[in-house]
Amino acid sequence: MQIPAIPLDESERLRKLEELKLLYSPSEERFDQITRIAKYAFDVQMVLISLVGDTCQWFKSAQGICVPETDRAISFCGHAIHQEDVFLVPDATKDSRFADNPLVTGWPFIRFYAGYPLHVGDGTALGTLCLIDGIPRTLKPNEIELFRSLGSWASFQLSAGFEDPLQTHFLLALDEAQRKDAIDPLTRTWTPNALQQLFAENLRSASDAALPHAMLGIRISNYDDLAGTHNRDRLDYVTWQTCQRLHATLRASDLVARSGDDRFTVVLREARASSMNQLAEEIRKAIEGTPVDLEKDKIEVRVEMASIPVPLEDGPGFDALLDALANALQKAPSSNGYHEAGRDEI
Amino acid sequence: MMTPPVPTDEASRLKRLEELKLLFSPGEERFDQITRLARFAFEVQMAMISLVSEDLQWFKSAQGLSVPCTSREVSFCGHALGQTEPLIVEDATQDPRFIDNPLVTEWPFIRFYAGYPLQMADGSVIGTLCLLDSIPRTLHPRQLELFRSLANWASHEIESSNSDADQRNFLQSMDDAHRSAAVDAMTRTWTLESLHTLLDIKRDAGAGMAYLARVRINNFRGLSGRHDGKRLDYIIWEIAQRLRASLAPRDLLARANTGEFAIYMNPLPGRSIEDAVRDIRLRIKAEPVLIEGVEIRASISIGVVPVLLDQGYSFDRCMAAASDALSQAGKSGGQYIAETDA
Repeated sequence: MQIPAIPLDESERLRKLEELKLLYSPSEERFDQITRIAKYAFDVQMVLISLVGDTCQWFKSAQGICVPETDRAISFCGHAIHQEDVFLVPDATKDSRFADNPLVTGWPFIRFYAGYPLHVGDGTALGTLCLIDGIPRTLKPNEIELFRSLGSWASFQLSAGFEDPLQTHFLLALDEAQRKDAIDPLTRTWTPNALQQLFAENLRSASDAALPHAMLGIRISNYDDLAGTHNRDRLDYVTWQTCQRLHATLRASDLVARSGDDRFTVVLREARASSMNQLAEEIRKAIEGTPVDLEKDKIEVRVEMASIPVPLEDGPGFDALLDALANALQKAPSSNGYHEAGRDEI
Repeated sequence: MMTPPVPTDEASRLKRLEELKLLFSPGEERFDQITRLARFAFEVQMAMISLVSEDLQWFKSAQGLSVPCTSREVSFCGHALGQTEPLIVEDATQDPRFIDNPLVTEWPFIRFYAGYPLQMADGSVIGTLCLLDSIPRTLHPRQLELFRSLANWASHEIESSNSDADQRNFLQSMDDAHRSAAVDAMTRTWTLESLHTLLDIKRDAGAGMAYLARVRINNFRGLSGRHDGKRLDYIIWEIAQRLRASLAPRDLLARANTGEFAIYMNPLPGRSIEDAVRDIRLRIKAEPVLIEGVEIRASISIGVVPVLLDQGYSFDRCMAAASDALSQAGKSGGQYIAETDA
């Protein structure tokens, strides 16, 4: 196995990566859009936006796999960041650089790899958009063209920075270790603690156009059943997919936290044209509408939801709001899976 | 039909558009990537980046439509200018603003239109990223997010200049009328005169070794016999797009005559000219050109000469040598690379 060489501009590359605070950052729909489209377009098992850090490659967005990171020494992407253009490995077992790579000889048994280096600014490659499959294949010329387009889009998104000023500001103040603490490693949503800080920060900066107006609780109602029939990895995958679908129905300004194994809390910060009830329906459709695909299985996920209004003036504290949301969520099963709490319930 | 209202900031909007020097500029892969993805992701017949000038809308990039522009009066995009939210027309035949619009009653028979205003940093909206289809449809909230994301990208590309300094400076030196004359309207490629000027600029800037290629669409006479002008235009236009997609941003693509192009190119580091030329030919040949449900097979021949842009270089001599190489290509399987420069 060939260990990927270290690029000549390595220190500049790592500096840029830290400056953009992308490593261990929360997942963002603007990247998931790209990997989703790529998975659909090329019909491959896995698609990743991989950022190559000092010792590991960390996945900013992933489809078909829910491992948050792997070792840089065995990474394909470590090789691809040296390229100017698409890096193709049609069959890893026939390539001396990869034939005895543990990702080839063991799970996920990579055969096909295509990586597009994600250059930012003056040409530093921070990582790749990559396609992976367990079956050897290649890309046709028009597929390479589409792949390059998706890669350029990902490069643009990397340098564009986070969309929401509040979360950007919060993130910029954190170093790598603090980011690891503030973000749930599996779903890459905020931890409850980080959510509380963001909420307080949001209220402090009263000039902010996007202020909290409601909170939404989402619980995977068949989580215990799933836990009984699937092992940890598979359960994680289902949880993480569900969270991605939740993200896709929300806005960049919404604050999302994983508040328990089976549940998420969302702080909605922008007025919407649709009612809370409609939003809940949309989320239900996104999550329950199609089963999660996992290794030939189709896994049905069910959710129950509740919402509470967030009064800005003389409102209760954050903890009291969380309690109210938990109480409201308990009423969901008896009201068709969604309970909209009124002012009197907080 | 309702003509589009003129936005209140029309004067500053047009000024911003003129500053950008994008109107009538050559096609660029960085914009084609966006429209290509939009067409693919939304599964629509047409996707374009439309810039709205005083009296017309001109397409900086278009997929599925080889028309370079339409009048502003009949444009849908003109209606999207005064807003920052997307304009969505699910079925134009049900909308009094568009029901008798000639783009609805006649070809391309628009039914569905979605235009995302492209807003610049100073707030002015200079055009749209738009999706068109002849079948009514709608966009659900998740697709709207995607649409917004692609439109943000397009706005960003519009405000970042062409990455090739020589082309950028050349474009900056021209006004609308000059740009319009310097670029072939249909294929949005440079004219031969522009190529000549740009190579002189590159010579003066001390460009090193590179290659000049002549490209001919094979059996062009046969294609002209079988297809009408509109389809033939579409074939040429599609081939120009595929050529552009195979080239690097600093390479130059020019239209030499009806079925011929000239390319000034430099393969990426680590790649041979043979590989680069083979890939270009493969790209043209791999997929048929699809027009109105008809699949048309097209292929090209390429003749290449190395060029050194020094004081002794002559544009005419290089072009003649590249033409000789193209004749050789016809006799040697469609590809010929001369070893010594002209």
